[in-house]
Amino acid sequence: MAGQTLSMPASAKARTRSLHLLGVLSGFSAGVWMGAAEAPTKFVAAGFSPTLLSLAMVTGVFVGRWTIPTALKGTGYIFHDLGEKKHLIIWALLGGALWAVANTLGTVAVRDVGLAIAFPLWNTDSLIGLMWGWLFFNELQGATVSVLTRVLGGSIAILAGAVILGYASHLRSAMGMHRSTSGIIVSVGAALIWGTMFLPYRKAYISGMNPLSFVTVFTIGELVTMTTLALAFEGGPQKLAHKIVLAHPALFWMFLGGFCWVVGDLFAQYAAKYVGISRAAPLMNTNQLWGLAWGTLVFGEFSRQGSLIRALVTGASVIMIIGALSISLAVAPEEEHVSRAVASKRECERYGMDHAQVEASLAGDDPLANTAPRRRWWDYLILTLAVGVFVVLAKNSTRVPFAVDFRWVAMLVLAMQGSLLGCGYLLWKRTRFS
Amino acid sequence: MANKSLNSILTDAQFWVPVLALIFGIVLLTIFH
Repeated sequence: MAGQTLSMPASAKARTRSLHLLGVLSGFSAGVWMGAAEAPTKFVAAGFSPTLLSLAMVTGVFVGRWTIPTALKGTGYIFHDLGEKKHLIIWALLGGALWAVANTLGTVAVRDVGLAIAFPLWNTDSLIGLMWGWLFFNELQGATVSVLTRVLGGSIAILAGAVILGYASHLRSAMGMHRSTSGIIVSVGAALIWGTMFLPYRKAYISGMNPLSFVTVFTIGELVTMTTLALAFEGGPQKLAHKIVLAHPALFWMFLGGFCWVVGDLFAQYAAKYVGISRAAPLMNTNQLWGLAWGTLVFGEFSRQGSLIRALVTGASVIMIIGALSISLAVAPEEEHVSRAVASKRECERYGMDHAQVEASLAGDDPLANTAPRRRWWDYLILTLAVGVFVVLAKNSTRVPFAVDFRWVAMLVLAMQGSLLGCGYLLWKRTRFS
Repeated sequence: MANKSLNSILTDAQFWVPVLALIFGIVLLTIFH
């Protein structure tokens, strides 16, 4: 009996640690895939309108959601989950709308001050996410000084790395800051909105929702908002349709960016579920490192640059990696889990959910697996149609209108496959994609 | 039941934070796009 009493806390601790590791790996994988999703922004330089690019990517995200995610859990499971937590549908729609608005603000910021200044400013979104997590969901409450130092220190290191990378890009770029004040206001606005977007993420997971269900509604919110914005900013339906026809040969690459984004976002959602937004948001922001890898290695953006720029880029990357490692070592102590459980209980009481079921989901179990309907024939039809859209676009696509180093593409795609299969296998093994 | 659920959402202070952020973003876009 005494042995049992002693072994229980040890096994609970091991479960907590394995979920922490899973959340951290999901955060890193989100960075790998979201970094790749940035590659199609090169099309802006090739003359494509930022709003049109965003719309094409968001449509790619929407179609992409019905590929791999449909293979993981069928529509029956998703609708069963959504039906049990109907109040979260509006939250997921709001999250998608926030992403679309923030992303469009982001493209405006790139136009006005350049990616070099805009990107580091966006990265402050993790600090805003951290603030909402602490204020509304009791995140980091009960954390030891050591854990707090690792999370805050790591977040600030990632931010500092982003600022240095931005400075290095600025030195490289000859782009003038012709609208610097408005560009900075818009960048800060985008960070505020992206940071607030984490609130719906956490709201869903503190209620035990499955990330695949949340992403389903989230992509609808994105698509509806982005279509509305594109219609408003591109001069109405006829002009928009004309621009889409003109962009047709490049649509595949933008859809592919959307596909990478949806995979990255799914990993981000699992990270938010298992380690909270205060840890997930800065880990996701390592996507800047991968975006840099695509820029420098694949597109040769930093070739023929001086040693100062190379040193700044290397130094900033090392600082960001150290920051991410610091956060990954900040395992939440028991007191922090108790604070989180209090926030979960509050949600259950307000919205009439089963607290035991929510806690089971947050512990990596899949309480819906036994009651949700099994896959049906239409799941396979949806999957085939979604893949078909990508195949048709690929057949009609042209080569990208800029130089690409295919050896580095192969290396980076290998890293993406490694994170997808490795982290995907661990998520399946530990949680069955719960 | 639906009214109770809607009431729970509307009286949830957390709900108004993303709503206000969305309005703020749309205002920013309208001014600066």
